[in-house]
Amino acid sequence: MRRFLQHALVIAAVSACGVEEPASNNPPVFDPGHRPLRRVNRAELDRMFRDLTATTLRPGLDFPPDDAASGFDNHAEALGFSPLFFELAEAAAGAVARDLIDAGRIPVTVTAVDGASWSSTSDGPNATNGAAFAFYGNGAASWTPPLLAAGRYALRLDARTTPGDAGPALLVLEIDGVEIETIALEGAESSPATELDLAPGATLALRFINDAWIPDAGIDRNVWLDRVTLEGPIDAPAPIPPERAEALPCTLIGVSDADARACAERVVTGLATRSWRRPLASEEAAALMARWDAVRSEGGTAADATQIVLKRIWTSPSFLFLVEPPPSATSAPVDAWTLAQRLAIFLWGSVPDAALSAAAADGSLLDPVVLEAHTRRMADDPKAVALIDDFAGQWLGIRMVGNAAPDPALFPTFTIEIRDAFAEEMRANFASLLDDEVPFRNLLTSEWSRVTDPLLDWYGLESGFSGTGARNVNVALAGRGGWLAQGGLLTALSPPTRTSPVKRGVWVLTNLLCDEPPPPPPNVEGFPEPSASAATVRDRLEAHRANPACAACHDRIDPVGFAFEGFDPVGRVRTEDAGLPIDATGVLPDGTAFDGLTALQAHLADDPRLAACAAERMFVYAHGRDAEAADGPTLDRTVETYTALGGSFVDLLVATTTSEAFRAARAEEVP
Amino acid sequence: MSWQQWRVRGRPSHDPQLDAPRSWSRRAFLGGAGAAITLPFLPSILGARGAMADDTQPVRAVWWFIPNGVHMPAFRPETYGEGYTLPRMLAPLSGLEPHLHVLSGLTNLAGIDDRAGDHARGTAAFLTCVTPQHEGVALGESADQAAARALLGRTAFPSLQLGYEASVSAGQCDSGYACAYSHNVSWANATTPLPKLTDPRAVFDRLFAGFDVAATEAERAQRLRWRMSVLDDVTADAAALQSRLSPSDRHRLDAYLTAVRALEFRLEDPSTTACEPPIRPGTGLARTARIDAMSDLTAVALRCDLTRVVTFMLADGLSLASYPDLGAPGAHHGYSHHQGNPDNHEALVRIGAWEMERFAYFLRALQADPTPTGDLLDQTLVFLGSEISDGDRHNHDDMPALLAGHGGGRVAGGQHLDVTGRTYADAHRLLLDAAGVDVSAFPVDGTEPLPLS
Repeated sequence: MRRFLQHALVIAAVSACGVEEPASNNPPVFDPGHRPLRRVNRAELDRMFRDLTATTLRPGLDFPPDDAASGFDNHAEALGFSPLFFELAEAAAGAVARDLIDAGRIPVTVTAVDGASWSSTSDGPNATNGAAFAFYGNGAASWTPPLLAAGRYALRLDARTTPGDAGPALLVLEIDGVEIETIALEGAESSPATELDLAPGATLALRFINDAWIPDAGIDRNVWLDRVTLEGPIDAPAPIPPERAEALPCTLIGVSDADARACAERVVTGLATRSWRRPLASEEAAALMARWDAVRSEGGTAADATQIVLKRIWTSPSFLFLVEPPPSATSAPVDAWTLAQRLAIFLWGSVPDAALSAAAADGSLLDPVVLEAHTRRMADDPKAVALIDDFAGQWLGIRMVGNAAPDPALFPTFTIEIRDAFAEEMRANFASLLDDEVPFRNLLTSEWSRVTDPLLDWYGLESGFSGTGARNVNVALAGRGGWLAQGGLLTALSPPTRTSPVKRGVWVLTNLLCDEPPPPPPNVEGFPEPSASAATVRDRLEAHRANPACAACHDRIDPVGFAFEGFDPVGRVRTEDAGLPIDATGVLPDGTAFDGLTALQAHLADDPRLAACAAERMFVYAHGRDAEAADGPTLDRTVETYTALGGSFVDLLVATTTSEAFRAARAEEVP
Repeated sequence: MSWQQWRVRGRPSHDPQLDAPRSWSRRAFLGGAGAAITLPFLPSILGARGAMADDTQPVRAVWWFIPNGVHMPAFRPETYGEGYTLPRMLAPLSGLEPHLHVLSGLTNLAGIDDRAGDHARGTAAFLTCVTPQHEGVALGESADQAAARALLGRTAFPSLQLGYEASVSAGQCDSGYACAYSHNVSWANATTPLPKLTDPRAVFDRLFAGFDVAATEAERAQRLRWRMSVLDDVTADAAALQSRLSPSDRHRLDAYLTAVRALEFRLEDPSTTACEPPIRPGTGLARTARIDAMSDLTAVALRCDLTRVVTFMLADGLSLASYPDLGAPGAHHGYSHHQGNPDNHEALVRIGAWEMERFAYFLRALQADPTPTGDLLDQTLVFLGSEISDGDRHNHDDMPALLAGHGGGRVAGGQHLDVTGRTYADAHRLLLDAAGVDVSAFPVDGTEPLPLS
């Protein structure tokens, strides 16, 4: 708590120009920029469904991947709304609604058996005939279905008959010897479904009662029972699993109409509020229940009606877009619900939880101290894995690892297992930065890495521990350490057959320093082929850099890339390239000389551009839009706040969420 | 056309399928896990739709995109006119020459700009013939969507976007251009790329799933009513929201409303179940099998007249795919920067020839589908091209282009044609014209369809 208050004071001090000041004769000049309306992406859709209903369905995984703009696939410009997206979202909403409602009822099972599974229970010629049970004369057959639960079941018979003297063949249906009804069959047909109340152990019997055999008239009425299908229990209530209780706090099934409607109203208004991330207007709640009543009046069950209304909630633009209140005439702080929505989608890629919603409902979230507390709380929650998947996943190259495809002829031992372990190492290492005691610069300077068994071998490490799973290993002893020395990044930044200092160098400049070199001019020569005088990748690049037209940019790029040369295209330490010793030295344009990746990373960790770049990347991710020139002051203050707070990644999150831009909406004219 | 204009209420008479688990006819499950195999053509399948006057022999338009340009010396035949020898990359098309024109000399100059990013620009411009804006996302309507718009209402699916690679975003694509440019060739408008389905099973499910055989007609009609009521409700939500938005955001909600209409339209159209589905494709198909399965599904969709407009991306622009099985273990894009190196040329030709094998498979799938007057290839025009010409030069003139099929008798085929001075846009307009679409629907970069007959 001590640390907290300190942070709040720091923020207050840094946030010099307050949007929270009254807009009297001294109106704020701060422009928070326009936060464009955007739809949620497929990962966010899945997480929202998960957090709203505890479903294990992940329908978004089957959507076409969302495209990225400015580095992130949550960027408003990138998230076009195609008919295909809507179609898939509509189907997903229906599936999740069904999945939730089904959690409150005993699963319906379909049991179908051939007639031959029935046994004759009376004297006479009746017997199985192939897959069928044949009734050649009056008599009965019985079957005890394997039921798991008592309830109402639908029975359907598939049978063939031959004509008798008059009218259909008649079969009396009995349950445990009690006559239920008489089923009439004619020709070859399925009987209409009969609904029965059954309990486990009940025995069904069918008794053929109007056999006819008049050989002279050619009359011989027989029945062949081909197949019997039993489906149910129909709408039998089941105990609601605890993890579903927030979404489904009452039972819709097997209760009176009035109770079912009252329950539906609770479910629907609760989920609409959470799904739309704002309080529901009373007319909205009324409209949702009007739809519920309409479905009921057309013969739908309470479960049907609730399912339809949930689907409607999750198909609405209020769910599929991150809607904010209409802009006002002056730039102003957003309301607490909007702030909660921004915070939850940024940190969790999902909807607010109960605690955040409570802070929105009472308005306390507007207090920067409370906002900071929630930011830290949420960063410490398992749901913050969204920041690893989506923010670090794209910014720091974790997702690239999945596309790595080293040449199997050159690297036959490289497997999918190694590739997956690479990505897991990166995710685990980034996760360790979500501890606010860990300075963010550790990203590049850590001597430790969280590696799994396949990587211990791959890296040639001894863990000193036995057991399975990821373990924290001091990799500095093996010449590693820091984000750039992770095998996944090294592999993803290599073409399939060799290393690419250019690719690695450009990646560092672009992503860590936000100092992207200009692309090569059209029609330039590419990478020189090996020759007698230039066999190694480094020598070939040096030859290329002798061309002054290339040197202008490659003097910046190549030295950074050379630092990586001690690692091969699949992330292993190497001492030779093309039979010659590795040279991983370099001199940066500012004169800094280094040897190897650890030294380069130590230098980068001290580069002030690193924090500025991290703040800019986070701004784009947090706002779903590019940082414009007008956002410069916001970014400067974010870095200041982050530094003053202590310089952890979590501090950067706090500096971002407590910035004025994050908490305010731009003035817009609404015609 | 705005969404309001094509809001049509029809009779809800088919697959309402609320949210029950998807089920298919028993037949669709036979053999379950195998690759998609088209069933023999059943004349009765065309059913109700074929009865439309002037619409009995529709012409279909298909565009195939291949990435990274081609090695032109192995693509362009040495002689013009008929009787040319197929160069090495085109050799897999042997036997299909009578149904094929090789078009040499086309440009797609919208791919040019004075900065890097030719792959992103060329892919974006492939079918739009518009130069994409570098910041944000702003392009234009693609030719296939101009066709889809004009043919709206004729088929259950106005168009299909298919591909092989699921473009999982790692953040960056080409030179700071939004990834949408490299990943999509079909664009509904300047800001709405149409993503492609890349899993054959997902395509199958979209085309054929949803018919609940266990439900009665009355049950289905009721479920359809409920499903439509949801669409009515959310349309009202969007209309109420629209007036509260900043003007710069309204186009996003317009796209939402268009999407709702598109689904409504399909649900109202009884034709989706008029065609017997093929076998559901398996999962985990290897690259070649997966692409061919997509070709089979495309042929079925066209044959059943579920759509008349299809785009297929064999890979994304600037594809980094590697083909160790073809003896090309490096990245395709790396080879395309060939620097005159014969080894790189060889890799490019192998990849290119494999691409043409896939294309030949698709054309033969169309040939295997008889129509009342011939086969489906007779009734289709297929354009194949890329985002650039040569991988070193990144040029957007002298582009690779093939035209296959006869477009209902409009295109004879069989020649290597010099069409220097004409554009990709003119080729696209030829497809539009053949499909019965007024070519002014696609007004960029040139005006007339290619003069082929």
